Amino acid sequence: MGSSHSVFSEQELNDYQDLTYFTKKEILHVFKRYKDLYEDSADENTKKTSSLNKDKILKLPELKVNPFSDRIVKVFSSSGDGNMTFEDFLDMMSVFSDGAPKNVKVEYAFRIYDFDEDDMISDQDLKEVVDRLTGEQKLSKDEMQQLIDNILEEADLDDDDSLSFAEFEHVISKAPDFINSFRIRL
Amino acid sequence: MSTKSQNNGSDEMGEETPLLLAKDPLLRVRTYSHSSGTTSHHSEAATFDFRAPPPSHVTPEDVLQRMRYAFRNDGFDAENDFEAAQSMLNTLERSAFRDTVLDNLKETPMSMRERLGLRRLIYSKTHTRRRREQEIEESTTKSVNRNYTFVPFNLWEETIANLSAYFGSNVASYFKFLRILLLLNIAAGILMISFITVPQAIDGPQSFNSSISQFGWLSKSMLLFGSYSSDKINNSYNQPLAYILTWMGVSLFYLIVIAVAMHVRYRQSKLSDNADDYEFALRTFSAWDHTIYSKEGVKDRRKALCMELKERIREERKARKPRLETRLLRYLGRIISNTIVLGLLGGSGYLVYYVADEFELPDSTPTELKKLFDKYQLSAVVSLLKLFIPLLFEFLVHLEGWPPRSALKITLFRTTLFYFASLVVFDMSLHNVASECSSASCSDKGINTTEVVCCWENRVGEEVLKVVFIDLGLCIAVGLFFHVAKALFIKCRICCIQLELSEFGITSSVLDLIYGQGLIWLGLYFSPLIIVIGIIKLFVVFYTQLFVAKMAMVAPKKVFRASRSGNFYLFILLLTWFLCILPTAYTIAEVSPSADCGPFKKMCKAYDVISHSIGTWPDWLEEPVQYIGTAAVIIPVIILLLLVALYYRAKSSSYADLIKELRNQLKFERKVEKRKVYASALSTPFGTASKATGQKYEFDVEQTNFPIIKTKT
Repeated sequence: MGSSHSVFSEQELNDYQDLTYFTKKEILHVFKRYKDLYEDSADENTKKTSSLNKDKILKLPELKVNPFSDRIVKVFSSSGDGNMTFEDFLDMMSVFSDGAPKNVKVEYAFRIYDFDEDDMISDQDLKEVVDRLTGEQKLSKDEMQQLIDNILEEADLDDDDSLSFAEFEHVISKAPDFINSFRIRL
Repeated sequence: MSTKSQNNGSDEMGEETPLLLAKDPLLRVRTYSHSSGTTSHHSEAATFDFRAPPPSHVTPEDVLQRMRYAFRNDGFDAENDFEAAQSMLNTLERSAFRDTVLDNLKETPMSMRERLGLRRLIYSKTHTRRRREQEIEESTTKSVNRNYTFVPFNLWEETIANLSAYFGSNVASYFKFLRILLLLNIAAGILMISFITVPQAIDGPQSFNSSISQFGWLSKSMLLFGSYSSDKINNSYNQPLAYILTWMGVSLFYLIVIAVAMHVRYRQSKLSDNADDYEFALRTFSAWDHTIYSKEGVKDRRKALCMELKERIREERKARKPRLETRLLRYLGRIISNTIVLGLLGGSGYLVYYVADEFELPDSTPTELKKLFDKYQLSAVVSLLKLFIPLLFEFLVHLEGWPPRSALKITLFRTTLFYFASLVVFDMSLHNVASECSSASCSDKGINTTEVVCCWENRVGEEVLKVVFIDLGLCIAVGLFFHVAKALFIKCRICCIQLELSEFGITSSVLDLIYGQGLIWLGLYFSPLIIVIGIIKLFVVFYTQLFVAKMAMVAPKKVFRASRSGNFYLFILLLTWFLCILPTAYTIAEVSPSADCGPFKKMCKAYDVISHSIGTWPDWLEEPVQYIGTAAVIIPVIILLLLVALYYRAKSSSYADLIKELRNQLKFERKVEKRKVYASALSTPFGTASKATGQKYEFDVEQTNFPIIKTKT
């Protein structure tokens, strides 16, 4: 841990600690995992500042088989195309950590489920979410339609056929397991 | 469709809205809404004014609001806005504003780089270099402390994380519950040992004559009640008083921890709505478990989710009333199985009683077997019943034709009821054991009848210990010889029957844990070191379950849990506490202790120790305390507590009504507002609304006074 410690100044570590839900030790651990994704022997300082390609990030074992991995990476990447710097990566792990409160997780969950990024979860988005959830065995068209209708009936309060953030948050607040399942531990 | 209910309709609707530009994430554009204070959530139909207004338009509330919804405003430039807002404030307000921004910065959904920029901007202005270094020092020590204080709560963390890679977080929560119970027992054990056992150990265990001891030398050790002395140790430590007070203290400790834990969890969950109202939405949005990262885990989870969704959809479709015959059959089935369930409950209760008291093996059995049976009859029957009856319940519920989720709930309810009943019956038969040799009146204390030496507390303690051991043995045996053997059969294809790997049953495992904890509570008074046995048992159970789960089990197929939250299990734990501690309290208060062993052999009732020591207090203290114990005080206190409970109940139900009303109002307002907005939008030159949102509109004038818009996408 000694070498990684020297890459970050005290001030940087302090800043990161105050802006994430991690302790300094955990931040260094996250950096170590991030470095390992590079698969080459570049200098640590370049790794700290440069941006890692999306494909390499998706090789992280905790993300590899996650059905929403590409959305997760896209949402957290500051350049919007899936390439993440270390700070983006740290941000992502912080939101998915145990210490992040429910409202932060709900915020990002909404962005992840919003496939077309129009700030509303429309029925197309819903269809995509359900497809990702069920994987190889798909629902039939009828079942999918019924499911979407039911979801909108339950959650859509203003009858505009899509879910806004407020409606989404309202639904998730009823979920007892959400904070436990929206977690990734490095 | 966005609602701009906060903006009046005459806002920038007249201008062109270059939506493409606004949504391009790479193009940073300044967006200032002209209604300061509240920005609408939806940027879709928002209007953007590309002339930067003078900085005085940005208030601090604006900045905080925009920070909160930062990802929706693509052009939000935090640093400039912050500076603009700062310029409006005086010095005092400035520092308050800075602190608010800094506090909120962690939760703001901006990217890390932007947040760092803002933070450094704030710090560069306000802090001198020296103060900065001071702060760095403080926070280093703070983070070191953070790393050390929670070490015991991180016991087994790696192992559990590895397990949840395949099984998911539901199964992991069982192991975490186990860990919490373990830590709780360790804390209570330390209390118990340091106040009771250690002082006794200094003096050596009290010897007593007992011919009825079943564990040999172990019965006379400090494991059980009998070897605790009834005198002052070293003439200064009042052992009997310490014994009873420690027992009461530890019981209260358990109660307080459980009650506080329940309270904390209760507050975290919003209880105003039943989660049943949102089944489909919750099944879609919160069903995916991101802690799973093994390929098989993902596959199994997807399969399970898909099946559950399909099941639920099918249930929904069949919501029309089935034919009369099916319904009659179903009702008949339910009546029958409920009768069977009651019969099973009553039958097992009677069986326990019978075996404990009256059952005798026929004389032809060899004496060895007879002795073994005599020793273990009660405990064996209780544990075996516990093994088989829940399985019967699970089977029975299939005959009744309930929808799957109700089936789960009903089985859970019945199993819990059975566990309670078995604890109660066990307790009652223990009472019989106790009354075997307790004297009816306490006038003949002091007369030492050396023919029959009786130490009933030891007997009771031994019975409880036997049940604990057999329970542990059964857990290991079932795990190894049933699940693991089944897995081996499947892998080596020995058996020709179609077998499946067992699922990890979370409910039954958690109920087992709670049952085990109940046994510890039952035996706590009679055997102080049962806590240590309990701790060892929890360790063994953890590793056994881990091993069996990894080797021989698959992830549970029901992804959606029957119980709404972990609060249900805490509630059951609380009820178990009442069920197990109250009988012991009754015993202490009513049954006279044995005359030949234990800390209370000189007393008429165990409770007398406390009354005697209160008797040694000065009069002015003793009288009020005695007065409190009488009915004149207790009854009004009880009535007062009932009234307080009623008051809170009334308050909470009126809140529930208020919530319902507000929700309806919300729905109503959305619909009415929407009509108003569209009406005003259409009152401007035709086609503005269409241009703004890119959709076609049609008029439908005949229905009401103002036009209702039908949209066509």
